[in-house]
Amino acid sequence: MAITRENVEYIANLARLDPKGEGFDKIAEDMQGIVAMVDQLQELDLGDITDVIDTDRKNAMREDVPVPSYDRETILANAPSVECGGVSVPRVVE
Amino acid sequence: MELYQKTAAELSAMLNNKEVSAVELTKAAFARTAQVEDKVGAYITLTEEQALADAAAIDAKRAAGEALSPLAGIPVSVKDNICTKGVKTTCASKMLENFLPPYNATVTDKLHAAGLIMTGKTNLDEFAMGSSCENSALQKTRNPHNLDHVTGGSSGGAAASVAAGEVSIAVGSDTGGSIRQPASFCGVVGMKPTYGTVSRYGLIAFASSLDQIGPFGRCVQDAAMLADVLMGHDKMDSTSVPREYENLTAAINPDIRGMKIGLPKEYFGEGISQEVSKAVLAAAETYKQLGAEVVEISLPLSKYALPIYYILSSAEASSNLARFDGVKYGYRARDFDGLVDLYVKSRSEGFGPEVQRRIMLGTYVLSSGYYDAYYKKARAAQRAIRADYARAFEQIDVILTPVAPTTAYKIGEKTSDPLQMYMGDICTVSVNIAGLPALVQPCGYDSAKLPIGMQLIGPRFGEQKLINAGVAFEQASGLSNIVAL
Repeated sequence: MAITRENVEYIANLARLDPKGEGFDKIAEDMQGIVAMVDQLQELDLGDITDVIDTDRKNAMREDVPVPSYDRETILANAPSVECGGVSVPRVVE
Repeated sequence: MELYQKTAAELSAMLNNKEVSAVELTKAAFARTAQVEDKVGAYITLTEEQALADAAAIDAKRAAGEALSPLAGIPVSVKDNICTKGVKTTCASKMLENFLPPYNATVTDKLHAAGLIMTGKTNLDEFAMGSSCENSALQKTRNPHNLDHVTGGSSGGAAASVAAGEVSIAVGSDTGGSIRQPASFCGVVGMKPTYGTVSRYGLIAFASSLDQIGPFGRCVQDAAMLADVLMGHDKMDSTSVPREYENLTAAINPDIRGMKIGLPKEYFGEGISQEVSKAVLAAAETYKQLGAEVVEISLPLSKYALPIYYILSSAEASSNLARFDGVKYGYRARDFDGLVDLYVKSRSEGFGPEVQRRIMLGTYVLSSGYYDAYYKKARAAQRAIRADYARAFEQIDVILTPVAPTTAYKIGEKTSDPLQMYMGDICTVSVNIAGLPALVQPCGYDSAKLPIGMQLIGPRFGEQKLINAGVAFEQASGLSNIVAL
C-alpha cells in the first residue's frame, strides 16, 4: 500500500504534527520506504491465528486504596504556562 | 590497576574490606569522567554534589556497622529516560529539556535503597528511538573504542559510560535492542530482562508492551548484581510480574556441561557480516569445548520481526507521546494561533525527525482503514513469534545469535536513511516481541579492532541460564572487563 502525500498530510493532522514544519518534506519522503518495509507483513500467512488477545498474560491489579497524591504546586512547576493555580491555554470558547 | 578499571564486584569487595570508601570511589569516578567525558560525551547531566553526599552517607552507615547491600557505595549512571526526582530527565529531547520529575521511577528508588551512588543521566536517542545515539537532540556520544564511530543506541550514553570506565555499571532500557546493541558496539555486557520483571514505573514510555529496563556492566557478574537490584514485583506497574525473584548472583554456576544451545540458521545468513558470523560461530565452538551441546534450530518467522516490531512499537509510541501537547509540561511553542495550533507547533518544534517519523507510522497503522492490515495483523503475528520461540525452547536451553549485522559504524554513515538504520535491529527486536530475556557480551573484535558482541536468548524468566552461560564463556575467552580509552 503506497502512501500518498495527501495521505501523509492527513496522518500528520491526526497526529497533531505540522506538514509544513521544518524538515517535514524529508519525513514524508521517508514514510514511503518505511511503509513499504512494514508492508512485508502482508505476505505472511498466519493460518488460524487471528486472535490478538494474550491469554497467558494478565494485568496484576492492586487493591484500590486511596494514597496521598502530589500537591498542586509540585505538579504545576513543570507547566509552561500557569494562571490561578491551573495550566493556561488559549481561549477555546468564543 | 586504577579504581576505574575495576569491576563492581571487585569494588564491592574492596568496600567490604575497608580498602576504599564510597567517597573515594565516587571521587575517582568523577575524576575519570573529567578525563574522558569531553571525548565520549556519555552524560547529559552530572550529579556530582549529590553523589558525594550520598557516598558520605553510605560510608557513615558502613562505619556504624549497618548491613549494606553488595553494591552499596558503587557509582552507577542512569539513562535519561528514567525519572529522577528533582534531577532533569530529558529523554534527550527538546520537548523535555527542562523537565524536573516530581517523583522517582521505581528503579531509581531501588538503586537508592540499595545504596548505589547515581553519577548522572546518560545520553540516548530521543525518546529511546534509534540505534546509534545520533538522534539525541541534546548531546553527541562517541564510541570509546574509536571516537569516529557510533556507540549504538538507544542507550549509547549508558554503554559508553561503562566502556570508558566512567562507571562500572549503568542502567539502560531496551525496547527493540536499546541495551543489547550499544553493549555490543561498545564491548560491554548488557541484559534485557524478561518483560515484567523490572518495574517500568517512571520509565518514560516509548512502547509500553516492549520497554524493559536492564543493567550494563563490564562483566557478566556485574550485570547480574545490578539485575538483582533492579528486578522484582512492583505494585505501581500493572504489568510487573508477581513471583519469587531468586538472587541471580548467588546462584552463578559456570559449569554448563549438558546445556543445549541452539543456533538459529536464520541469524547467520544474508545481511550479517562475515566477521560477526565468524566470531559468534567461534563462540559456539567454545561452548562445545565447555561441554555444551550445540544444535541448529529454525525460527522461521524471523524475517517478519522487523515489520512486526516497527508496527507495534510505533503504534504504542504514537499513543504514548500524545501526552506531549505543550500544555501540562514540556516544550510549548512561542507563537501559535489557537489551541490546536499550540498542540501542532509545540509537537513539531519539540520532537526531532525520528520521533515524528515513528509517530507518523504509528498513527498510520492505527488509523481507520489500515488498523486490521497492520496493527491487528502484527499483534497476531506477535503470538506466532512467541510460539516459534516456545517450540525452540522445548528442545534447547538458550539460543546463541549475533547482536547486530555489523560492528559500530562511522558517525553520520546511516543518518540520512532511517530504513537502513532500522535494518540494523534485525537480530534484537524479536526478543522484545516475545518478551524474553537476552544477554549480550563481547566475543571478539573485527579487523578494525571494534568489539563484536554475541547474544544469548533465554526462555521467559530464564535469566539464570543466560548468566551462567555468559560467565562460562567469559572465563573461557578472557573477554571481560574491557576498558577503552
